[in-house]
Amino acid sequence: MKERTITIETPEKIQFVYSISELGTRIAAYVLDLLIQTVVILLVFFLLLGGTIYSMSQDDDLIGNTSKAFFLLMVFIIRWVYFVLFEVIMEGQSPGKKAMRIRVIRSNGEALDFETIVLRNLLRVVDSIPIPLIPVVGAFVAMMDSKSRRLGDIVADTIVVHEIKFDLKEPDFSVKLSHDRGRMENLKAKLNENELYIIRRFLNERTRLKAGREMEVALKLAQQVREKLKIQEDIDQPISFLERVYREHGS
Amino acid sequence: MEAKTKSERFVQARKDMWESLRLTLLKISKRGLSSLKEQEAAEFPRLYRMVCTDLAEAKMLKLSPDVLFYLNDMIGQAHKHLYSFPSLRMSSIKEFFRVSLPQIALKNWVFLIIAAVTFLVPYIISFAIIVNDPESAKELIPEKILNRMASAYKEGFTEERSTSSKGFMVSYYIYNNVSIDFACFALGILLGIGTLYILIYNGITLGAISGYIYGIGYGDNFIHFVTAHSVFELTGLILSGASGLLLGYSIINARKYSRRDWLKLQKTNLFTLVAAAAILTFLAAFIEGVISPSLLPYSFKTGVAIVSLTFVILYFFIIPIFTKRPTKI
Repeated sequence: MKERTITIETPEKIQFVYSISELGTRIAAYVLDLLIQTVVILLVFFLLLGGTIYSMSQDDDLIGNTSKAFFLLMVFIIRWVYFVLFEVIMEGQSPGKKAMRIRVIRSNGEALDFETIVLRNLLRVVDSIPIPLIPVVGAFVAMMDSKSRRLGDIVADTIVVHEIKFDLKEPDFSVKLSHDRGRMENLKAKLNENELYIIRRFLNERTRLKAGREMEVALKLAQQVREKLKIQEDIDQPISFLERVYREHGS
Repeated sequence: MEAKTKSERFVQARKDMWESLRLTLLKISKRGLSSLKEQEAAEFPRLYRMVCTDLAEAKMLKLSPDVLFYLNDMIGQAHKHLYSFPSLRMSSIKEFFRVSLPQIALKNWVFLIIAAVTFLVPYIISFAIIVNDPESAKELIPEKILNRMASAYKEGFTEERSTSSKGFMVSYYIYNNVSIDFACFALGILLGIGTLYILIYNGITLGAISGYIYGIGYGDNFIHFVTAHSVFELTGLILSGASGLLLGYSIINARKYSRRDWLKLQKTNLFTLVAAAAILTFLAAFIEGVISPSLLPYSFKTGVAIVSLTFVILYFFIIPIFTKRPTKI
């Protein structure tokens, strides 16, 4: 499937793109968050239960009521505050999203603000109709939407995107060429930068292909190059052919 | 020497500048924006703008895809840090409560009235029917709940509840009532129908319960209990109803805007209404848990109700008139 992207225009009028998170990744992030929530609630529950049983003999009314009060508040916080809190302090991420390397952004690229985060998360209730915590509606809406947005995203105008890679890979122009120093001279046309990139990648990574497959790809590429550049010669050795063409390009 | 492609020459000329932006970004993502030295911080936006220009140029020259990806991702990262979450300032919080909140509530009076009517009319009808025929309440509400209610209001206020049980009731009311507010808002996305359903359902149920208590003769105790918190609780419910109705209506009628733009313009309105609802319901929960069940005289509880009512009128109707300020939409 083609990777879907969203183009952001910066205040400097420069456009850059994010790739939109696919539904599966979002579901995985949600399941992780749900797991964390469940663990926290269970932990609180058993701690309080333990405390209550332990101190039963002393003042059961006081301890029991306090535990119940605390537990209810905990459930309330997990249900309504968890995502808001994390998306505020982690700037658009929750622990689950962080683990899946995705992030919430506003569709115009502006910074997330408090009201946006609150709105998109309050609408989670509707995602889980009719079964609480199981967002059937949310998944269905996201599946239908071209940007995988659930209802909360549509109302708050947000999109969940893949986090931009932390370690940027600098462009590398070194090419693994064989000892043959030949060039393809007097070309009538030139390859563009995109085509040169494809050849460069092939030449650098061809050894990772299976022998038969390597020749197959090389031949295909060479034929296309020959056609584009209107070269008359026959292709006996496609790899050497590609290398000679590549060498000829540039200044 | 190998021949160089156009992309390679482009990269070579700018490599050092890109590298210093990359290092700055690395530092920020590891230790935060505040870890930058003064000079680095001043340099950061300048580098960012220069790399922006490089990307535009690289696109125009149709350079190699790996160059474009590299610049794209670097700009994306820098953009995230430069335009990041605004820190909440005390002054903007003050402004929100002093000006925005009451103005926005008043501006949406139509939805407030519709929400109030949608709750109160079913309440009154249901109350009127059941107060004359308490037994018919069993058609609407499980008998178990009715019996529990009856025994709760039978005794009146004879014994002060313990502090811990009051604490428990407060958290129960927060949990239950604020959740209803939030659901009432969120269900507005079903073109407002979900919100209407919650308002009507709560109107009928609460009307039936209070009608039943009255019908079987415990009316005085009932009034004694609900007076103090009633104002904030009702205002909260009506505000949340209004937020849900506004959400539904914004989807139905986007005026001259696209639906998406219209919703974007309504975001502040929606947030403010639902936040106001939650805050009032939160306050009501404290009154309901602490003052309402206490042995304090009825006059005191009426006093609380009068103070709350005065506050609501002053805050939502009088103050906005005196803090006139142009609002966006």
